[in-house]
Amino acid sequence: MSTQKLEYDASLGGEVALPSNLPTYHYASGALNEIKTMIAEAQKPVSSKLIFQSLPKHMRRRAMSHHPNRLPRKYRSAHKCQMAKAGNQPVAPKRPSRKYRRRAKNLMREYMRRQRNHIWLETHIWHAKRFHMIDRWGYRLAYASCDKTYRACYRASSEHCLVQDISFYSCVQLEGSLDQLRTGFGRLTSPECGLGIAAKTYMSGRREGSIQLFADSKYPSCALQRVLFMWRPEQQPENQTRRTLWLWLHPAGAEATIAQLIKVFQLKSTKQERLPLPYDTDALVPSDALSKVPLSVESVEQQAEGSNKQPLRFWTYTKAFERNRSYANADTGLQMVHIKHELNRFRLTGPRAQCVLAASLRAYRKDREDGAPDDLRLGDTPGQALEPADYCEAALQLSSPSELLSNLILSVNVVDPRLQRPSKRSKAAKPAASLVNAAQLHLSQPKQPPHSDLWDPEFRERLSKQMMAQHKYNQLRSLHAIVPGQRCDFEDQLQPLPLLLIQRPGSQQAQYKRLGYAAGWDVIVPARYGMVLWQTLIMWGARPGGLREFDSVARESGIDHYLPDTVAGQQQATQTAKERRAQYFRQPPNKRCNYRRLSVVSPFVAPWHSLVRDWSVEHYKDTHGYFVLRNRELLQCLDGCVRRRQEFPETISELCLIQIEVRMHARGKLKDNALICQPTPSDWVRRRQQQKHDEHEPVHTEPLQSDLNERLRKQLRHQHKRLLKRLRSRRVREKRKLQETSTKRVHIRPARTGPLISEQFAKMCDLWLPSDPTKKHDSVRRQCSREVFGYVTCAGFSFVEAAVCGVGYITARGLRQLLQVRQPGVPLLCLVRNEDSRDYRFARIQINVNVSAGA
Amino acid sequence: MDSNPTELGAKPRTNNKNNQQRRNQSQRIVRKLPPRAASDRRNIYITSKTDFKAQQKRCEDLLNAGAKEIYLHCMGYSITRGLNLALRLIQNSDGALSYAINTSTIQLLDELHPLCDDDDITYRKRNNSALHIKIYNSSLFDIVVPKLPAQPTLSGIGHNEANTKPTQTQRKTQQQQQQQQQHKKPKHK
Repeated sequence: MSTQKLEYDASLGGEVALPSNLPTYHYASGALNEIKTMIAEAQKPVSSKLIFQSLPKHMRRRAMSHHPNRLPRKYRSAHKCQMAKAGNQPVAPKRPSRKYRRRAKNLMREYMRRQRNHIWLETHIWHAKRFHMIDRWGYRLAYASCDKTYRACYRASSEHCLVQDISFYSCVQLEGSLDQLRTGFGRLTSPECGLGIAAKTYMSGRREGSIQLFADSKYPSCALQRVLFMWRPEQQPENQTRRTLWLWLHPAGAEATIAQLIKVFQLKSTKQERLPLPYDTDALVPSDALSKVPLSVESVEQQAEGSNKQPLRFWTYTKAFERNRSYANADTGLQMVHIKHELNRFRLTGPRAQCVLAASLRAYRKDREDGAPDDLRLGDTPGQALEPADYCEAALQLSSPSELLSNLILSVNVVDPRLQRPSKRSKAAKPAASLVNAAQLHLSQPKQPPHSDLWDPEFRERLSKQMMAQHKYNQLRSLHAIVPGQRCDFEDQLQPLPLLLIQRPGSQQAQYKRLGYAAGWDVIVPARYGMVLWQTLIMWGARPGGLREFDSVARESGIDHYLPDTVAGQQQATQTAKERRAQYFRQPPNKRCNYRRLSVVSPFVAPWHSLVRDWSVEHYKDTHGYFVLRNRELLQCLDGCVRRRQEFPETISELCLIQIEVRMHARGKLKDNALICQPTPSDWVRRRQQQKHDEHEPVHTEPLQSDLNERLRKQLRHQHKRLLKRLRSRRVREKRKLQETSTKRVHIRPARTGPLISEQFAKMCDLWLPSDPTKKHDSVRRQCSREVFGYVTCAGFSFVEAAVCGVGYITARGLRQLLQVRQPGVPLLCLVRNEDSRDYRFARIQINVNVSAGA
Repeated sequence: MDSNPTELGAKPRTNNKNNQQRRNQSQRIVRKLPPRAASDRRNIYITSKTDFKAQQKRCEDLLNAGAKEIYLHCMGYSITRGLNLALRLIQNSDGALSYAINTSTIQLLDELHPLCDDDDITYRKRNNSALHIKIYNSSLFDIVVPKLPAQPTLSGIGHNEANTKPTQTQRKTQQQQQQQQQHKKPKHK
């Protein structure tokens, strides 16, 4: 040890006392500043060099600035950005040739890229060739056919067969003990809205049910959506404890509903699990986890508190990729799986759906080689239970689906639908004389409930894996088919396909809408088989429809998919309001109708909150909000009031909206967002006079109001124009001055008045539109010369009624007032006025008892 | 103005009596679509909702378009309506149409939907009377004369026309004019 070397200590630098503690915030503030400067530097490099100049010499290439492909890939985007800023565009990359693009590999890659933003259904490409596609609810969906098929689709739904792909309905599988499910759903729904989830009629799995879900114990407000559900039939009758259930959720409210389910059942995502580690073994992966093949395993060991005798060790198991999101509750054993891309659901509407299905589905029978249905033995032995396949065949022979048990579920194994196609597109023939009687058929239901292999996830996977691809099938056919169009031997080996058929009863109230309209079948098809069945259905004469038909069928049957208090309804309302507003301001000012002069408070969206506020006597609180009346008993009471002049029920809440159907009598068009108003005695007198003289003029015309903003708008416009002119002349002067001194030609400076103009536009928009009733507390009820007590949400000409019909919502007190002044001997009438018109006309009101008939 | 003539007949069963009972019951009655024997254009099902004039026009159009016979099916409350319609058609035809009537009973099945969770769905069978009216063209004009087998036919169509002509001449002139008018209509269309 050398002692000559001086150490840095007291002898050299004097005494240094190290502090016993260091204030970390001083240190942290210093570090923070450092980090800030570092980030700022990284974001905005000070060096003024271009990207390719900053490269080392050996990496530079000739004409690098011109051809970005000569740069390393990670610099290309930055380089392009720099070049674009400087104003000189680099050479645009050539679009690859069509031949290259259409190569199978490249095409598939392109499809995968395009599916990243919006999910495609299985029939997407078929639809994209024939339909207008729109983005809706995270999917890319067919809206309407490119052909003019509006009326044809109505005819199909009422007399033939309309087929729609509604696979965007997401399926959620719940598995757990019956009591848990019953109590859990008891919190989410109310017995007043109809049968619960565990009703006996649904538990066997023979029928599909539907319930209205609300946020956790918030009934009647905070409605989520109407949910279709079906129970899995029990395998053994004694095994009653654990049951499985499928919920079919509309995509608009699916996420909200799943969040509520997670909250109620206290579920946790199984994407990241904390599993206890067996102490004695060193193996990290337990046997059950091995089967799942984890892609990334992190192991985190934790020492438990010292009080525990055995130190507990955990490891966290993370699935990198989950095909179906799954959740579980470890304590109760309840499991939830969000089944995605595994099931397709096709909706067939119309009486001929029977023929189309009967023609395209042939039950797979092992014992009978030919598979041809022999004569049904129904007539011989009435009351005897049929085999499921026989029953299905017999059911499809009836003349209309609505003759069957409502919401019946049938499970069939069918032969591959590719074998059932006609050589040409043709209408499925009707059975010459239906041997089957609906009454007999009801008595001879199969003994066992509809068991299906589709409930088994492994089976579903195997099924889609073993499916013969269309390409392979075509190849084999070209090899083996000697006579075109004839059957081949290999076709007998195609695997059978399990399907679930669900009957939809359509309209069940004869007084409300035509009995049995919109009846049909829903077909649940496993993954990859969607296109196969779809094409077969189309070949048998079913008419494809899109989302527009979804809405038009609902309107024809007098129901509303988007109730204004549900998630889907609110979403829809805001979206359409935005579209209407944009549309309104796209028109030139002299083509816009002035809503201030028409005294319409809220032209683009129905102001339910303010409407309910204005009609409630008690002090209205915003926290409660409005809700749609779904209590069936109360609705039936109200229907009795309207039809049979019974007494108005006292127990109705003031905050509720009542769904009604509005029908115009003789003339007049009804549009969305029309006002529903109370008639005054003078209107009744006028009506009587008009009836006497057979006149059809509107009963009352709204007097035009003066628009105070008109002068303001004019002033503002003149000011703005003057300002723009001044700026322009300033720029011209500048340019001239420069031109005098310069030898070259000088261009005028760009205007850059964008922000100015948009500010002016926003100001103008405010002056054009009436003030928002929620902000200014303007009265919605007394906005015009007749008291407003409701709004129409969707309206149009209905072919079923041969009249203009619409679905609307009115307040309970408004209805009461209307009932008090109703005239004897006339059906209940109200006044309606479109939001862009001054004419009031009488329209008939009917109450919809079955509020959420269509899910 | 409503074009429906006033009808007197059995009222439908959905009246107050049933509805008051329903409130006490623990079930909701859901009626189903009655079965249809055949559904093509010549079978017309009479409902009480459809406009009377519209139904009449539909039948007349069918008959004028050359349909030999049409069938009107009516059930329950709409029987009176069907009879009215049939009589109106025959009255307007000036003797060209005749009718034949059949009665039958139709089995209907109603669903009784439970109102509480513990009950299962049940059925109710009921019968309703139905009427099937066949309306057909009774004129001799349409009788097809069979071809004689022995005659050598050079042009079958011309021969047929020659055969039908004598039958026409035997008929009364008044009726002939009428029927020719009727018969010509579809050709113009």
